[in-house]
Amino acid sequence: MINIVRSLNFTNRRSMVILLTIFSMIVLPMILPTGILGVPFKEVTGGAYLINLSGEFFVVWIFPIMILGCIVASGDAGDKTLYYEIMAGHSRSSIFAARVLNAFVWSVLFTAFFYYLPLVYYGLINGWPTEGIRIGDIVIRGLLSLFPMLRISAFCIMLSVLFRSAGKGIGFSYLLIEVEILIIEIVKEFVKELDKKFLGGVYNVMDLMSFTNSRNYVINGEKVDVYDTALSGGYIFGTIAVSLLVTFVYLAAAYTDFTKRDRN
Amino acid sequence: MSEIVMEAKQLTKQYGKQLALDSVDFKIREGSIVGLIGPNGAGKTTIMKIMGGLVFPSSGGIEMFGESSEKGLNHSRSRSSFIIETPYAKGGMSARENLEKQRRQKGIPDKKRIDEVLDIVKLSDTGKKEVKKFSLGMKQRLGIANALLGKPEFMVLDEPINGLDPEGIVEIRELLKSLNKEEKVTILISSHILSELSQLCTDYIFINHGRITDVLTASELSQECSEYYHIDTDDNELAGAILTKDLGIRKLEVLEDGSIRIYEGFDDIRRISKGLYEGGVIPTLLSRNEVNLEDYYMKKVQADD
Repeated sequence: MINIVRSLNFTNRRSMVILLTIFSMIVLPMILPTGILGVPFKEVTGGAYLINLSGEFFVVWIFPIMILGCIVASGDAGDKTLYYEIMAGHSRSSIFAARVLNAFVWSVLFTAFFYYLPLVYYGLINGWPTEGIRIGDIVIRGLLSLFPMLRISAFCIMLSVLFRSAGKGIGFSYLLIEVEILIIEIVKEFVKELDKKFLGGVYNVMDLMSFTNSRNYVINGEKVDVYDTALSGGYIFGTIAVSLLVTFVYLAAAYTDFTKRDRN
Repeated sequence: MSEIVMEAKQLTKQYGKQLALDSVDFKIREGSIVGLIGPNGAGKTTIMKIMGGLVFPSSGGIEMFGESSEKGLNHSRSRSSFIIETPYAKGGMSARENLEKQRRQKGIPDKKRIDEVLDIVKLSDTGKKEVKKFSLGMKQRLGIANALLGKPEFMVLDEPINGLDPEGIVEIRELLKSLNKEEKVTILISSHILSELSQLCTDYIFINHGRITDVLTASELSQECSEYYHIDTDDNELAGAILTKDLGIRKLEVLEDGSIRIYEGFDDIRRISKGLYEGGVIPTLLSRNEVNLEDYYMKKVQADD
């Protein structure tokens, strides 16, 4: 299994699509606030980026999860170089495990790293003046967001395995995630009390990184927005449990196909 | 007696309603070079894919290096190498990078092995050229280099000389011969270039419609591949009558174009030509030939169809 991971990492480092995706993840948060939204650069503090952009911006961040997940898991299926792993005597289970593990590292951990990186560099350049945000809560939310990201990645990996193509995996992942969002939004129109955060992984991350509950205080003559960043135990448990359960279902479907279907 | 490297036991594969392999049985002896011969769609690639673990049999199974369990077969595959259909490669990477990827995947510690196999297949000078810019022949060479990377004991090669130029075909033939002779590598090879197989193989397996039609050694094949005289005249009907009635030739075959093959009387060709001439027939062609692998194959396929 470790040999397959080594082989995959060798390929990943040479993939132009992967390199371009990582480059976009670094550049986009730099140009988004001032270049696209027109916010003066000095005003983009770490806290301001977190409060105003992180949640909504995650819609864009599903792309690197999709692209990296599908390419790492199934990029070798299209050109059939994956067959060499089977013919070399690796069991299909170990090939699947190595590919999924590597896809999770590249799609979830790397994406999460670059997703939260702007908070660090905007914080370092322009400061972090939002006193009303508890950093400890943000760290918990950040760590917790890895679970729904895992769920999104597993969905994309499953589709790429079923279609045996990274390209088809990416295309259908995007399509189905959009359809899922559309359906949830339509249902929400009719069922106002519907709690949509566990219905889609995208909503779950957006909810974790959105901060709408704030109160204004005047402390030492300065106006301060205090945000309600604490999470309930039920929310934390729900996010972890639902994400892991759905991830398991997606991976079970992919595993069954990968280990039982002929490679023609 | 040589050990059996690979054995197919009642191997059957069904794709939907189509029966690709029908209870196939055969054995491959250690140290042999076995030619798997059959028309397109006969089941050759399916057999190789089952051996490589790409396709699961519907019933029956295979044994490689004495192992038949899932785990045992995977271990046997690690002692083997496969080129099935076309050599697979990452088009955006160079030959060396492709081999490096496979070296890591196979867990081969010796990095110099890449240089060795690139030298063997004469791809050392391709540098950073991407594989997508390679000719078919170069891709075949890369596939062979990849197959040699792990120093296999058993090679399964599906059309390995497809796309190679004549010089390349000779090189690969000589390479396979030396691997077989010096490294004792057992080889299963399929090719449509039967003249090449006849110069290489020690054994033959003929397959058609998913069934094994014949299994024979090279010496058994040479016994089957008898010599004959090919005769064409200005009146082949009369010539046939003279040959059978006047000259007593019994082993005779009239071909579709009317020309005649006789399989006896090799020491008496002067008597035959004289007999034909005296009978009023003028021979326009009289040549001594041998039934080769190609003729034998055509005969088998036609008989089976």
